[in-house]
Amino acid sequence: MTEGSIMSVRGLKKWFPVRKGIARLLSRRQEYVRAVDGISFDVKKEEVFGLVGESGCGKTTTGRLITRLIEPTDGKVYFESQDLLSLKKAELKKIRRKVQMIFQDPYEYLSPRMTIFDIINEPLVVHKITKSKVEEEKLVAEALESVNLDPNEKMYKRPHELSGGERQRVAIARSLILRPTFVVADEPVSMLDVSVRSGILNLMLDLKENYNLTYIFVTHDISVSRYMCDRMAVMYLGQIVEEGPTEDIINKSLHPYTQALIAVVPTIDTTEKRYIKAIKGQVPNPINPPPGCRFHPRCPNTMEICRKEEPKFIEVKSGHYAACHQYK
Amino acid sequence: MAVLEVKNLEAFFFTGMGVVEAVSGVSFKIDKEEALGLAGESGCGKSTTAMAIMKLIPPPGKIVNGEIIFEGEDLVKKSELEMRNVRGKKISIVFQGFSNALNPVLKLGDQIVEAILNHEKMSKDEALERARNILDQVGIEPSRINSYPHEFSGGMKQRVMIALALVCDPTLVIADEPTTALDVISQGQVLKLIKDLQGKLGLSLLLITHDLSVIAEMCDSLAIMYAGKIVEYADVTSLFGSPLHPYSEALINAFPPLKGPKLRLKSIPGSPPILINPPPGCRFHPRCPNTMEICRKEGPRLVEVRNGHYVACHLRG
Amino acid sequence: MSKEIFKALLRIKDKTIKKFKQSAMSNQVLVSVGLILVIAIIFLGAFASFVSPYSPLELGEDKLSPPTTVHPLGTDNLGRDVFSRIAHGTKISLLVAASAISVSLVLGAGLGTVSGYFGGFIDRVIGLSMDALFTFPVIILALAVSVMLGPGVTNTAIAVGIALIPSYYRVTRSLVLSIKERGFIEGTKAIGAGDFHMIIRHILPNCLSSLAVLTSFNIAEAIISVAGLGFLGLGIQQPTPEWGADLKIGREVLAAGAWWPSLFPGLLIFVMVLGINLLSEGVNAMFKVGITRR
Repeated sequence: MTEGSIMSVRGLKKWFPVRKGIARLLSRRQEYVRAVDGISFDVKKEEVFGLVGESGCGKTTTGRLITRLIEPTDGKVYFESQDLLSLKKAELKKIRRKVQMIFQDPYEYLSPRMTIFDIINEPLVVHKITKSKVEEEKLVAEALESVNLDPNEKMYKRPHELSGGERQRVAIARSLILRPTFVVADEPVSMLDVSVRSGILNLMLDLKENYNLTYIFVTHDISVSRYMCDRMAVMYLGQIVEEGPTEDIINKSLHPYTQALIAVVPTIDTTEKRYIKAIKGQVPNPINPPPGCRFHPRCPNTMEICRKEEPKFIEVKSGHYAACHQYK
Repeated sequence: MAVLEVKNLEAFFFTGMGVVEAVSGVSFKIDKEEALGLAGESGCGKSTTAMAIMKLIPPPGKIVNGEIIFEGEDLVKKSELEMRNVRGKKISIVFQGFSNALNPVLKLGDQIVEAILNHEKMSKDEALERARNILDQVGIEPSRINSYPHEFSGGMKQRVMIALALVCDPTLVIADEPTTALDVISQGQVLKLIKDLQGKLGLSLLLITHDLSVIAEMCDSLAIMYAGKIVEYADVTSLFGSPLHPYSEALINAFPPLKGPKLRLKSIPGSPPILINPPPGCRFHPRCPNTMEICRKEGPRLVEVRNGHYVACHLRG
Repeated sequence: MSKEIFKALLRIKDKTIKKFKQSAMSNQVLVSVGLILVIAIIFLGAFASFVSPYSPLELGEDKLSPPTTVHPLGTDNLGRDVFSRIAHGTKISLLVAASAISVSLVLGAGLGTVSGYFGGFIDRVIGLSMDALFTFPVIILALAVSVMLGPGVTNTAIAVGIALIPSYYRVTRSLVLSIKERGFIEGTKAIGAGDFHMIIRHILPNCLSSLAVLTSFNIAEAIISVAGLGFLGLGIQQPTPEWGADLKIGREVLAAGAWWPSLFPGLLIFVMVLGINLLSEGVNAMFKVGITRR
């Protein structure tokens, strides 16, 4: 584990076997969707670390691998010096008190048949933390207040009686009631209305201060990532192509893909009526990624070597890494 | 001359639980080759407005009042049969849920040809030729006319939707959240495509979305809707440069900027009102930082404050 | 725990009444008629001893007497009062059908849950056996099991119960499979819940309403199967009163001109099944309606 890091990921891979159609049954080679194909990064204590990329780049899968909601094909994940992937059931359950997840869809995530009280109380029940109803109510009320919801009003309502923003607050309260130290947030505001997003984002930042949390923030929206994160990693086709401090990635990006991503984001700034710059081509099939650098078919600066060799992930400037043949 | 002029449109849903006033007196116009953005959050009535223009509001919804003047004729007065001549041919619509619009068991070419032959008389070969052309225009290999929908990615399917919308040379294209389900790079491609085609084919565009930055890049003018009403209406530079309505200001400030100083985002407390038997007064007043006595009693009217810049607010109007 | 169940039942009652009022007039009629029929027959069975003028087993002198004031529905070939037989027969038929349903519900839903939740090898093994059973119509299956076990009240309940297991299995299994994909399941896993907690607190409660619907269909099926076995002479045996068994002896005297020993048991079967069908159709329609039109 690196100094000062609370989590270290090394060579993490998840390959999903492809189901065969009748025609493919004849071929003996098993094919895989290489959703996450060997990523490594460190997360420092109490920082917000962003995982940014298009849909299908593997960022969501990475989040689920770290929390062991799905099992990796290969690689290691160290949390506070413990090897997360080798933990057995009982120890994993204990770790879940420290490593929690916030999901994207506040409509699906909350069970429609349970009251808000039951939903937030459930982690306490699962881990047998409280001994009396009075204690449960106290903790749940505190949790609701910490996300700026009035317990007297909301405690016994059901999810469908709450707005999207309120539901996400409930989800956050539920994740935090066990007092975790590490939270993976998977697109926590993507499904919320625009005016509600800022409330949730600010809440997450406040909670981080109050409870000394470390976040991994997964999103496709680079503007949101800029607002929330101290450092970011940009993913493409299952790999990290660039990683570094947020402002460096936004203002001095190194990798052509990052540059394209930033150029293509529409902005409200109409003084500069920029025309939308588009990047050509589609994301290739993750079953058969292109040889060499995976981005080369769409890259404006392709060189001969890009077609043949995969670029190494190197530190180009202090703390700022990229995988691109332009940099040695 | 305006291609589309909507005057005082009212569309309500008559449900078992009450009357939902989804669209309450909306007026705007779109000129030839102009792109108008209709912005607002979910539930503000923008999609219902689009459906109203196409007269596709599902029951128990109905257009209750107002005029929709398209190329000089009031669509509200037209019959279903007459509307079939308009839809797909003179006004087309591109939806958000693209995967549902394409029939998975039919080849792409067949679906496009079907759309063409629905409105125009020509031989199947001529229609196929036109289909290949339109696929080429939206950046898809014409040879893929024999592919099935599941062979395409999300972004490509959305481009097929655009192709279907354009195949009969419409005058007005309505795009309802055309890129919301797409990632940022596919979004860039689709938006660029729409913009290019708009210029090339001289189309008028009604772009409906909650994403203000998309409207800033794509549209000439913009109307912001809240709770079934238009609260501010102006050209894009004027509105983003100096927003007048408190809701517009709040909405613009809700988008975290990519460059420039990183300030704490402000959020709007509360949530949009339920539109069943709405209370009197300005519909935004419970969430407004500048509420006055009159705001609780009387709904403000849309007035022109500067040249072409309209706002509905007791304080600023 | 029981307080929560009680509160849940109250909520269901209120919700049902609200949905009833919201549904269309024709539907309300459907539900009401069905309810009346079903309740009437259940009461008949429940209070059989009180309403029956005679014991169902009491042999009498007056054999094959048509309906009179003394015997309101006549007597059968052994002089037994048809009305009393029908009343007690109702009790027996309904109890046996209910036991059968309980057996099939518990076993079928249990196996379906295990199959759907754990998947893999267990699923394949159980699934194949169920598929084999499912190919037979319920009555044939009940017949087969009945032949193996022999006649009698308990065995009939078991036979019909086994025959209905596959339908519960299939429905529960596919329900569990789809519930497993719901977001809140993943969320509950993330907070550290184990399989047992997941199944009891999340998966089963979400199956209940569908299982209730299935049960309403299967009850009719169970009643008919019990009666069918009785009619074939395999199920409940004489002298125990039972609709099907009585129908059987009634049929034998039909040629002699006695219509009452067969008509009334048959009528009761018909009315009960009709009532159940009307009720379940109506209730299903009530709960499916979203925005209603007046």
